[in-house]
Amino acid sequence: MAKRVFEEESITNKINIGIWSKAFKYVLPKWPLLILILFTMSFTSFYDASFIPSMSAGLINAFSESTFYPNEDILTCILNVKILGIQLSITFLQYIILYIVMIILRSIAIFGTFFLTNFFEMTIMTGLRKDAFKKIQELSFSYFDKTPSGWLIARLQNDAASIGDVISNSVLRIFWIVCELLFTLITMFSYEWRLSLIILATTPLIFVIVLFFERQILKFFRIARNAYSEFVRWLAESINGNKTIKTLAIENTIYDECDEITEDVKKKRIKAGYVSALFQPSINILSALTTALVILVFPIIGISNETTSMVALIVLFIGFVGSVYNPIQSLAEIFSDLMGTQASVEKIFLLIDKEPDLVDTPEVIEKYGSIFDNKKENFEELKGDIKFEHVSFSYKEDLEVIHDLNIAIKAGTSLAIVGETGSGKSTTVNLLCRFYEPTKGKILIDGVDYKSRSVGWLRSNIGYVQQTPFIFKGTVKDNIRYGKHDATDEEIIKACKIVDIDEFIMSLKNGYDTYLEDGGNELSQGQKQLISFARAIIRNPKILILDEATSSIDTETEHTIQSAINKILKGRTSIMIAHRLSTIINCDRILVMKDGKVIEDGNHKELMELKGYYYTLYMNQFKELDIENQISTYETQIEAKNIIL
Amino acid sequence: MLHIMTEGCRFLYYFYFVLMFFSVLFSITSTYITKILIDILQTQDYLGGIGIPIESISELGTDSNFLSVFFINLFGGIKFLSSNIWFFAILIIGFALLAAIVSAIRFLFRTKFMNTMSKNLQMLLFNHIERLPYSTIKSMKNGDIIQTCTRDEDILKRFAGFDTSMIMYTFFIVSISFIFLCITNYQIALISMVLMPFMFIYSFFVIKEVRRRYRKTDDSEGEMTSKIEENLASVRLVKAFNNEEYEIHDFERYINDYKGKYMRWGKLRAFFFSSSDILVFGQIAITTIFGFVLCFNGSIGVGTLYMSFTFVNLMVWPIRDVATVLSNLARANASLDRINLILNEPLEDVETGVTPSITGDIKFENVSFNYPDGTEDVLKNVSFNVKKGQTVAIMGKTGSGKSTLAYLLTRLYDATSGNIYIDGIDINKIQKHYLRQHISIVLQDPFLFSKTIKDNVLIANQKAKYEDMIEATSICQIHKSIINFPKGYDTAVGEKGTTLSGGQKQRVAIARTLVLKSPVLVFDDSLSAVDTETDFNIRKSMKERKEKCTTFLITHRIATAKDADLIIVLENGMISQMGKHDDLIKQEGLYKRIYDIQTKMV
Repeated sequence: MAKRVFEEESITNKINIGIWSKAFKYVLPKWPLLILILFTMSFTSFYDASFIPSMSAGLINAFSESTFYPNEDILTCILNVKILGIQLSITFLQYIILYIVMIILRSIAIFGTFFLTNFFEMTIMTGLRKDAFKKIQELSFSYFDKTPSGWLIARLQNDAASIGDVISNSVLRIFWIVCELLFTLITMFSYEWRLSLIILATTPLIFVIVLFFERQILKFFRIARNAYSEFVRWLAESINGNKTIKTLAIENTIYDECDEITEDVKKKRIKAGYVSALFQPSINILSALTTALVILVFPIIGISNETTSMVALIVLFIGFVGSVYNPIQSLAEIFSDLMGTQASVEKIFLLIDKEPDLVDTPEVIEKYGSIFDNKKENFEELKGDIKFEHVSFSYKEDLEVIHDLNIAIKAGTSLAIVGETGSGKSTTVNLLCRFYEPTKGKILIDGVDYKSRSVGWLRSNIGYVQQTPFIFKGTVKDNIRYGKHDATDEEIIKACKIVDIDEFIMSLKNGYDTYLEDGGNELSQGQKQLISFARAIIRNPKILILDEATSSIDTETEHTIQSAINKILKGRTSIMIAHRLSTIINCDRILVMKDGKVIEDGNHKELMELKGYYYTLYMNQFKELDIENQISTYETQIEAKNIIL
Repeated sequence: MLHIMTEGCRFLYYFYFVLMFFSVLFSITSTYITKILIDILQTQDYLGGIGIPIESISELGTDSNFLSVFFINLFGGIKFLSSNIWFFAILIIGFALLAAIVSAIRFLFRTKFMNTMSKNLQMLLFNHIERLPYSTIKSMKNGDIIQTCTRDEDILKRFAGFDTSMIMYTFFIVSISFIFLCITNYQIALISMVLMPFMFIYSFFVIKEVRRRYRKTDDSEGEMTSKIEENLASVRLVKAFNNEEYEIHDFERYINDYKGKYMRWGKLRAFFFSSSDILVFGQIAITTIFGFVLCFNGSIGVGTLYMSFTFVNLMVWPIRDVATVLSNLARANASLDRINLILNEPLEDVETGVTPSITGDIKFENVSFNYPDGTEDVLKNVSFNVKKGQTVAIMGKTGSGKSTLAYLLTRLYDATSGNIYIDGIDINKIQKHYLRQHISIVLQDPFLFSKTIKDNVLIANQKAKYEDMIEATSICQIHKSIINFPKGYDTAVGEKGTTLSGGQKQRVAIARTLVLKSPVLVFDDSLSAVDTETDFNIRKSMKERKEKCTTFLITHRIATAKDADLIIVLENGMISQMGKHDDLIKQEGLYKRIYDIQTKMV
């Protein structure tokens, strides 16, 4: 079952044609099919609104005609059928054949209508989803900082689906309904204009009633749906907080809350239901009134005309009341569907039309290609010298998190950045990866401002390992190949051997082809991280970034990870951010950051001797770890180098 | 189940069907009156020579039956009616009005009972879920529970409301129409029904396949959603690895799979509608054509001809739709099963047991524990004594059984063997609810409700005074931060702009427990989210508090444990060391090692 995301709905009052035509553009390239569906719809309308009533009237009419002789052979007796004002005189046999042929044609038309409707729905839905997905890939990090992923999922899931539905089932149906109305009107007037006028005279009233009800229904159902969303939210919270509820012994309080909130939902739904319960009966009363009016007027206006008997007219016009009323009602429903979905259209185009704020200049794209289309042949080789020149950065205005940072990293050396949360160490790495760009200053790679080369050039040379290892749904092999799509099996195995995970992978049921379910729950955190390492080094990157890559590792794998790190750092420029300081004491150089500035710079030994901020950080780290980590950290460090104490 | 659901609306529910019967009857009668009108208009009075004599309508004959005679006599006789056609207008509107009013009433009833059912079911389910033992809830997926409470509840409600009424409506309309037709002429009655069984069987089976294909579409859409979720969750990697294009291609794979399945479904659905339309319109055509033949032979009149195809039009659509409804039955059944799966889980008994006054003496006697799904004992023969008002610190590695100890104390789980006594009474004899009101745990990860801070602090003790709340938040060193929020204590947790940090949340959770003034307090590693200084201040203010309580501190900080009256070190479910700080640092063991790491390095 596809998940749906609940969110508060807002109400719109005006139809915004501009935004709807944007969505409608997705079906325009299929214009021949559009014409086809218009044709099948008109045919169906013709059958329902003109053909069937005329055929029935023709039969009934026969019995009132003085020229009709009941004693003849039934198949050859002549029937007069008037379709769209055209008088046909056909035998009963022809009548039957015509009937059968039309049924088959209508059935074909209905197939076309339904199938094409589905097709258009699909086209719009997938078109929107593809475009939105592509845009998500294009957008820069600053966008994701501000936008919860739930919001994005709701756009791709709910909005795309409901827009597809509304356009194909509502917008296209407008045509169908208009056709039906037109055919009804033509047929009506071709039989009796005075009676037709009587029916038409009542339509303003039906418009008023229908609009009134649709508005109310829309409003009250929305209130009810919001109340229900609130209930679902509350329910999820109460189930997630079950342990807390039990330990606080507040079951009764929560039960009362449940009573209150379900009562609220019930009341609002009943209110909405009451409004809609009165809708259909009101229409029925009105249509009965109109029918009565037609019957009353009959004797007055002189009953029958030359071609159609009174009985046939009565039968016809009783039917016409419905044929006029139903389309009007459907139109109103469509109108409220449009109102209800407009917010979705607006929101999804807010996403699709969003311009990413980190893009390469046209010249750069010209030379190196865009992120979707790298011109690898033009890529210069990256050596790995990195230089931050007077770099400042702020996520929000007036809130600088990096101040005038100057760092020079030589190719092939390892650098660690440490500091507390908010010190700017993660931001520094974000800037280096060009997830963000400096607000002031420059970052030079191999002596060239990285903005003068493409994002793709930089990133194709970066190996990146993040704090929480991410396992994609797929096999182990797929997961490692994510770093290099054309990697051979040998390359994969080689990468795994370097990080010492090969043996473990081979012990799995299907080795490298073992399928890992979402999140790879069957693996330990450490094993997952080793797979991420393999994924990063299979790219053979010139720059390796370990973004808190050791923070979430359990102590079991600590040793393995540590030796894997030591191996993969070789021959690359590497930047590590570490929370657990034990993992970085081997680095060539350690930068200590505080409040967006580098305050200490040197290797572990130098910094410890300095007895400054690094020293305090190093000493305090133990208290915050749980006991097993304290012990193991302590042990690894004594083992690693005899430089403590 | 229906019995429970309809509680408080049972009369409405059954009376709804009675009303439905009458609204169908009235609208059918209205058509029947039109038939009489047509019959009259077909007489010599109106058509001259080719018409039938007027008297033939009011007597039992070829086309007249006791029903039409009954109606004609009821409404003033044939003479009156034929010279006063306007009266038919009155009759038609009269019956239509009756039908509309009855319909309006029954729709109102339906709204009322369906939503009452919904609420009953929601309450029933939630009340049950909330009172299940903790171990049962833990073994279920939260997502599944929520699905059952929302989706399954909705399916069942719709089945009891819409689907059942659709079935009954079809039944009424078909049987009443058929009876009216039979009374008039059995031949036309049979002709009007001839294709219906086929239509029903055909729809029933094809719809099943349509459903099956739809489920595939739905599953495929689910896959696509998880692809989107995966992409969003791995956005850093996608960008860092410059895999944007690859991701788009991968996504297209999902989209195309979905598209394929969707169109397969769409094709069959379109085929179903178009093919069953042949049956539907075929039935209408057959009735029209054979009706004409019967009319031609003089077996029926034009009025009956009109009546038959009007009735057929009324019958065919519900017959086709009822097949869809019946195929819902399997779905409703599956929902019912899932609901019963929850409702059949035995409830935790929190009501029975003694309620002695609890002061806080606690004794563990050879307590062992094994989780229901575990193979090895998490706690083995744990015994210790705590006097009221004392502080006990519990230390140990992850998985050593520290938290389990706390769960046993409040009977979230019950010890597999051994006994726990409070003030000399076995806790298994004490009412659970009462026990939990007196032994309060502050859990490791603080869970706050989406309410204001004030409501959160007072949630378990709504009678607490304002001063009590301030006292508790002051002890937790959070009062000052709260009053600095723009809305102070009325700040909603999780509200934009004023999100509480992890440490602040934990402090609110502690305050929530402190206002209870329980005789026994357990901190399940809950002080680790606050910094060392706040940790110290909280413990200090608690010592100075008037109400003394027995306190358990589960911790990994020596500083937190060191002042305790008793320190228990757990290793692999057993007590490896027990005593006071000064004694333990003299012994070789885990405690001393941690002490060394934590203190010598500062």
